[in-house]
Amino acid sequence: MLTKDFTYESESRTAYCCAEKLMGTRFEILLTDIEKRAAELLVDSILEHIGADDSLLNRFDPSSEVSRLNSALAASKRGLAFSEQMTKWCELAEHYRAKTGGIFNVRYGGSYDFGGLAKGAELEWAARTLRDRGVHNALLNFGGSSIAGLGRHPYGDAWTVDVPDPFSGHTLCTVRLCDSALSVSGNTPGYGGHIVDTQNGERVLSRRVVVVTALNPADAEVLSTALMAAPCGRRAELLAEFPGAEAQFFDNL
Amino acid sequence: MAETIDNGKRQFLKELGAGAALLAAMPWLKACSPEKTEAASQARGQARVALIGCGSRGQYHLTILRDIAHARVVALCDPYEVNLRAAAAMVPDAKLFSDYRSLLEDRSIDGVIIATPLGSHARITVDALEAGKHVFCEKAMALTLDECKAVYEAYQRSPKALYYCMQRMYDPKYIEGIRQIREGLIGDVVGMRCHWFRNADWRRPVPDPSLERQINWRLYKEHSAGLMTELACHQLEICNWAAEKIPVEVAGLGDIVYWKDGREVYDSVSLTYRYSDGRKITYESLISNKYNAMEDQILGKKGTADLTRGVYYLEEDDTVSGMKQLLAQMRDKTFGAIPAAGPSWRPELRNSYTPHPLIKGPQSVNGGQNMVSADHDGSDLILSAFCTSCITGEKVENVVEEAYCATVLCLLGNLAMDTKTVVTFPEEYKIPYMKF
Ligand SMILES: NC(=O)c1ccc[n+]([C@@H]2O[C@H](COP(=O)([O-])OP(=O)(O)OC[C@H]3O[C@@H](n4cnc5c(N)ncnc54)[C@H](O)[C@@H]3O)[C@@H](O)[C@H]2O)c1
Repeated sequence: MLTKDFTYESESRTAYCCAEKLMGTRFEILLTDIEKRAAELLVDSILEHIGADDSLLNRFDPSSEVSRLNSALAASKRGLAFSEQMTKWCELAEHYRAKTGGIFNVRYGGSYDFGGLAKGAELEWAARTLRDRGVHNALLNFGGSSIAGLGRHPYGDAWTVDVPDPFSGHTLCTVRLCDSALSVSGNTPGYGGHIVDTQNGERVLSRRVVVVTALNPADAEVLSTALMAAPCGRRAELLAEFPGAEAQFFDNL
Repeated sequence: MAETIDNGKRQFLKELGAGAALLAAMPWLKACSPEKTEAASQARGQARVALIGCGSRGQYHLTILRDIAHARVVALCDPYEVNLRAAAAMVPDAKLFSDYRSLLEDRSIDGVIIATPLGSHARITVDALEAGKHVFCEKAMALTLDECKAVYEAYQRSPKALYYCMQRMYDPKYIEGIRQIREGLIGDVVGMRCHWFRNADWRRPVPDPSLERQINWRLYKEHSAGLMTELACHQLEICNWAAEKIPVEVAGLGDIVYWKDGREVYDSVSLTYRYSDGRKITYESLISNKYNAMEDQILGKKGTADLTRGVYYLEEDDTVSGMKQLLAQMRDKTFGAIPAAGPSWRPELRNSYTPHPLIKGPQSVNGGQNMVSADHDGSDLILSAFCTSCITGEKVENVVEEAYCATVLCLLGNLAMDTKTVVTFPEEYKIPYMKF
């Protein structure tokens, strides 16, 4: 069951909603210059959509489709059945696998993990939905590491985000988002190695942070994961596949 | 070169916004005023200082002194030829002594820097004060409780300045950390947790077996009080600083767990110091595993300051939600950047706490592995302030008292471990400075 906390401030016509434990983290959304009722409906439909995908892709929920697929794979079963939704996710993952020359791969070590893709893809979907419904200024935030900015801050010309050094808390860089997205990948203190180089199966252990911005949130998400795992020599080539995307590397924190 | 330390110092005081309030709370910082140093050295020239004890720490001080414009090292003393010669190579025109008593007779010397093994700190300090010298002594204050008392009393009688090399008192991240803790940064201080782990035997190579006790003095009780005075001393001082009190009792267990090489001091200690209000310092040191390194944690009801790293963590971290900050901006019609959380936010792990820096800009952090401290840990500032005192003749406030409190607590900890009893702070070693 999703716990959500919805706030509306009528003076500034701003809606804020926070849902804990969505895609393994906290999801926050801020909509400006909007009516309360419209905001509630929009937020609910976005949460519902992401929640449905989460129950498909959550590796920690044994009843999710991904978990069932992974246990079937572990038991070397043949003829796996994919739902229509899952097929779409696999197609999207395949698109990015090809685009990154195999560096980004949701399938490694005999199981599926959509962790490096799902949040970005959800942000992309949510941003599109908001635009379609006439919302021009909003900020969407998955756990502080995947953020999409629609339009701009009402008192600035963009949304600006400081990215902290996870080891010291100092600001590494400040990013401007204006109809664009940010994805930060890295190793936090005591929790290194959650990104795996899918080509050699090794965990990326260096104290490194990669900050990526792109117009498309899913591109940003995939690229930050891929760049974290890629050898330095392949960074330029990867970036060239994503025109408009930019990356900043903090390699020896 | 000569400018390095003075500039650094000016920067340090400015960055901390060392106003009247800070100087009132930490009066020893008054001696760090660059204006004072400049005025003094313009009027009276350099401080003429001598180094007693030319081993590893003594030589480290010589490297710092080279960069202090208002200091001149005029004499060196060490009965151990090898170290005396090594130091003489760094300061070729210094006079050389093998007995500190002859050095103290030299009237051209304003002040002495004592970097000898702990067992001789008290004797040399008292003799130097009585010989009319300003004194800078390495921590800890002394090997025994009675010696601490003797030093304290000699200082009360003396018009001279006495400094102790307790770097944390001069380290910007500690100063700023304690200041903010007192302003409520982490709520009520409810406890302290300090440790120092290393994986090394603490031994130095000995050219001749007859020199074993002299060179490896840290391992023998006639010269050393072991891990407590060598390591814990710095950390207990910080706890008292945060608690604004002195513990009333201590219990602990000490053992030689791994380095059974003939040493007499513990290589593993675990102690609990208790303040009158029930708050506790949990202290641990072990030198056969270094995973936990060194930490000085002040635990508050609302957060934790890890002063070693110069960061703090909040229990309920609203600042992490940049989005909540945005809501406030909409309300106030302002614009600003919001912080993203660190990458891969993970709930419910110790490491999911977000670190916030205690001071702006870069800072030096010593993980505790080195014998000689990290650069700019404060040692340079203390030496510089000491040299200023050698010129102005001004005493420094609170340093002797802090060193006395910290050393006595170390020695009481050893007493508790040696006797396997809960030791109550003895009346005869209380001084007016202490609040219980
Ligand atoms: N503040 C700190 O962080 C810090 C760090 C390291 C050491 N220290 C302190 O510095 C002191 C020295 O440590 P070290 O590692 O340099 O030891 P060390 O053994 O390297 O040097 C001590 C020197 O003192 C000399 N000495 C002994 N008795 C003497 C005497 N009566 N007169 C003159 N010289 C004498 C020895 O011959 C030796 O050369 C200790 O008290 C230690 O606790 C403090």
